[in-house]
Amino acid sequence: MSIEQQLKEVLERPTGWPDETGAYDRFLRRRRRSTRTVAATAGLTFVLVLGLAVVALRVLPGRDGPVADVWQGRSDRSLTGTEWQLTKVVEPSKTWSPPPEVDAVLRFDGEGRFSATACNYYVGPVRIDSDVLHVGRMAGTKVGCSGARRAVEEAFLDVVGDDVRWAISGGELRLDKPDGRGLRFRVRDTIYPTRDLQPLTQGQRNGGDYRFGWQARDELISLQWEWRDDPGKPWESAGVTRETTRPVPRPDPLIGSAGDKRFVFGVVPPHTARVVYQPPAGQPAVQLDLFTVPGARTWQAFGGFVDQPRKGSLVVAFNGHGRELGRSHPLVS
Amino acid sequence: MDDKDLEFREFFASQYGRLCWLGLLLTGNRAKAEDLAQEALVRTFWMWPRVRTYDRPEDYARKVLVNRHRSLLRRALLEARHARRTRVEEGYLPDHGEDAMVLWSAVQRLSPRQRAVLVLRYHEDLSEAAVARLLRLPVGTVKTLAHRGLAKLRAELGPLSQDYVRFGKEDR
Repeated sequence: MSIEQQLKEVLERPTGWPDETGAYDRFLRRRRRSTRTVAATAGLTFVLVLGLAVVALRVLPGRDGPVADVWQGRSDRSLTGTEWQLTKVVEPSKTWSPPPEVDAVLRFDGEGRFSATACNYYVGPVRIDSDVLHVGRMAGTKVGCSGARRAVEEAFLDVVGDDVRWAISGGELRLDKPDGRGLRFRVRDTIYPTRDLQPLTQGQRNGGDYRFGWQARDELISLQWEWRDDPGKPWESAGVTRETTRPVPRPDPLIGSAGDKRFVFGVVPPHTARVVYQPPAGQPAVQLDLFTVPGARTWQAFGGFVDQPRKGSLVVAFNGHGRELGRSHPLVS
Repeated sequence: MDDKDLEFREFFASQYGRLCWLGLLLTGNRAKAEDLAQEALVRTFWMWPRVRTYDRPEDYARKVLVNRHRSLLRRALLEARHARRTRVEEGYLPDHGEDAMVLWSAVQRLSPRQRAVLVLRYHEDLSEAAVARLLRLPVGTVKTLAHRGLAKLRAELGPLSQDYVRFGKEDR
């Protein structure tokens, strides 16, 4: 018998192991506590991290009784994994709504972390109790914000940068402080982070969500890759902007996260019939997909999933007769 | 209790033991194993409306457990080292023969990554590519870890294993 077979035998679960007495009750208690430790860190690759803002944890004074007529905490299945979009800022003297161009989003990953985009991007630990969010030290980018974006961000930090009472009612997430300040969110109408991106391909892969698409701005077209590991996790994205009439010098690719894979994308000459991702010797080549982008006269887009790219990998474009039209610089790291 | 809760409870009953055992194989410690299994099931519960639509919801729970284990190892190296030192004393020992006990103890002394690769390959019957996806490692690294892990087991088992391999269990 080989060592592999021996190993299989020794790793087999013995009958009756473990003793499952009380396991479900312990599960229910744990679920109720919702005590989730901080899990892996995540980030948005498109956000330029200029620094970290640290907000100290303060203790929320008590408040009498639960919010009436509101379905609360226990099943925070709706709270986690949802893209919550800010709709109203409640202040003691007035309530106001962010302008449409300010897309402030809050999400909880169900693994003890939240992330938010107001003007800057924030991420931090959170413990979700039955009706209180215990927000830990959060970190964020420090891009200068002005106008409505700044006002939204300040209101957001006032409420979320601390313990805050939460409830969901009629599809609305309410966060309320004892002093009358609060925020209202609705389920965002799209899960994807970039609103006006025209999809070339989108879907799910290994439980993650992805989208590859384009956006036109004057004579420019941006190609963008968006990925998240699970609902509630922050989105990661990568992008490139091309002029619509400028020829493609080389099909140098961009590489976006895609869980255990990577998404390689870029642009190739318009008469390209086949694009191949070629890893270093000994590994199989991968044929990538071609996409026509409306308005792009001197190029077409390509993209596809590959294993973690290695040094020396290339992208090569061929025409319909198999003649090479161009190749990228070899990947340097 | 609504239908979804009942459905999840059935899922819990079918998966708890399996996840506990996987946790034990990865950590070598019963308490940690149960903690990992409970955590994986709680997190699966939060995502149940989505996970229940998957072809194999149990794969999601396993992914959460392995991720959690990986994350704990990464973030608490000292704790993991301590766990490794104390693992054999605290852990389970199979009671079906001396050879099995020797091999089990040798598995416990593997590095966490080697052990995880071998457990997922030979207990969970995953392909190298699937193990690589789950552990977020290149396939080449998984192959190396498996190769070195098996080599270490062979070396630890010594002549016993060599005879075992050469003549087969039935002939001994």
